[in-house]
Amino acid sequence: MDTLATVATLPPNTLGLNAFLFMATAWICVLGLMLWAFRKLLSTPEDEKLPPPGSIP
Amino acid sequence: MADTASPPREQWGSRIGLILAMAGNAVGLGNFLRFPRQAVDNGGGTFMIPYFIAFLLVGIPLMWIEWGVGRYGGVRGQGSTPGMFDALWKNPVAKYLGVLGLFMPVIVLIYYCYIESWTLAWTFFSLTGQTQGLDQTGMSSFFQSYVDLENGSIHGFWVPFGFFFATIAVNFWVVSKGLTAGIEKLAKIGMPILFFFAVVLVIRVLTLDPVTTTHLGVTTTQGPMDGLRFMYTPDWSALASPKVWLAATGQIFFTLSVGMGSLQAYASYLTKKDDLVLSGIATAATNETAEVVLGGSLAIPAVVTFFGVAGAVAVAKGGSFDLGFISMPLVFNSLPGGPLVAGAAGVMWFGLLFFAGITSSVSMATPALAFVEENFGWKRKRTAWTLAAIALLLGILHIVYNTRGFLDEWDYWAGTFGLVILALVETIIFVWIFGPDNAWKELHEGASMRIPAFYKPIITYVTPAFLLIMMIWWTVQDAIPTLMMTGVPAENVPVKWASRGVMVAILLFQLWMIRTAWARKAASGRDA
Repeated sequence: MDTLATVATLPPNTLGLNAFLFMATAWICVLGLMLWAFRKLLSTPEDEKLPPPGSIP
Repeated sequence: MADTASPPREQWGSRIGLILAMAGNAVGLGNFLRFPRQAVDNGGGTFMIPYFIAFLLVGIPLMWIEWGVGRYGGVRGQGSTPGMFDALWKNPVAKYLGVLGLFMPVIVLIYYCYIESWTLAWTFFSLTGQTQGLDQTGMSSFFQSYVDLENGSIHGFWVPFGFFFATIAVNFWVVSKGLTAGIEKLAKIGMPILFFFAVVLVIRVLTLDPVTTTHLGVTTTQGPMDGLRFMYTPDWSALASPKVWLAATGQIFFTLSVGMGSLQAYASYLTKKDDLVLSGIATAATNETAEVVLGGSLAIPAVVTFFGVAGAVAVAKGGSFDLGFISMPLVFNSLPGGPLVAGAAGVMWFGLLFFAGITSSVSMATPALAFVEENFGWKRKRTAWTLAAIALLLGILHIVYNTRGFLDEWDYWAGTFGLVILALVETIIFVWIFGPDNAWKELHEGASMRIPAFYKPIITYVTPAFLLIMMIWWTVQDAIPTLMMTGVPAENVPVKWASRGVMVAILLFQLWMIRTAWARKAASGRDA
């Protein structure tokens, strides 16, 4: 597999620029999305819940 | 009519509890076992590109669709897909199509609890040091003796039963407590523990020193960064391979727990004022963080460090369980610090797998519980412990016939192929039959932000097209050979037929329950 061959040609225990950029992008995307969503959710006041359907006669 | 006739339903206690429970449902064994295996098996970095594209085109849209379907049914007193589909599509067939959302979670719940019980067992074995000092052969024998009842060389006959019974008891004790006191509380405790264990393990793995190993006669030195480099070095040419695309889309499916029926059941406890758009994104992103950032930084870098890239690929070919239950304990035994560190790492690894498992398995019990409670008037505790007894009895078949392919049949038909079918059916019902404009409006009810407009054609055309292609591909590639039992040893064929027979019996029983429930509604004058 090409990826295996690429890995084998690089010095041991180094990430490499391409892999670092790809990994950083992936991590920033998912972590950023999670933190943004939680921040936005928690900054919106949690309104009083509506009564369950059918509970009001 | 149905809106006012339905009895009051429970609601989530808090928004954070809801998100943690939803994320707990999605974050499962697959995040830490299946994902690294799939990534390694499909070329590491090559896999990650279609994986992210599938996340955006299939994962997030399906997450929104399932939340939308669930809430729409929930506000009409329907906590499971038969009632939800019936509410969305006034056609007598709709409720019977909804059986998929009862069948799959029950089937998967039973064998999932069995696998979850392994993680509980290995947490105990790690705590008591039973896996310490074992080499590759010893670790493999230790695992085989547990999963194969006929091989009693290490574990007593009763050991797998004991851990399975304990797992079932814990699961159904949680669900019997109800939504807020049981499931939500478990998520609030379990998810932070899971993330804490995962972060500690990731830090330890990524700070490992390089190790020199010999694999297939070749001596190499490698460290955790080599594992990450393998994961994140893209091979753009492999993007032309349909196999990689389907593997990536399949992983997105499993990891987000879509197409199961459990997300819809959880979403049925939402109100019109809850924000589906943002909550769906938060849940999906939390799951992806657990999978990509934590799951991707654990097993692969650890196994690459101690076995090399070629060795890691060989381990991945052996399957997710070899990776989790044989290779990872071997890695822990090789950690600097001796037995104490090995034991602590083992407890954290299998502990996190157990919490990942239980927060998912309790969600799988929810659709069936909701269906029986709402349609037959049973109380929560009675329903929960009845389902526990059924799961216990059927789970025994998995323990006894595990090595004969009993579990594999359930995993394929309900836990793999069935997911795509339910996802396709619900997408068609919600987006096409209910209508794209109605679906769009329903998703935005109570939302503090709007879904980007380009997602409307994606949800309407691209997501169903993806699902259809996946279903056709899987039918040709896997379903037909699996149905014909191609390559199955002759002695396992009767067991596999028996396994299918039990599944069909459960399916027919659930269809009968749906018919009975609607007949009761009609008789009592409630809108069916």
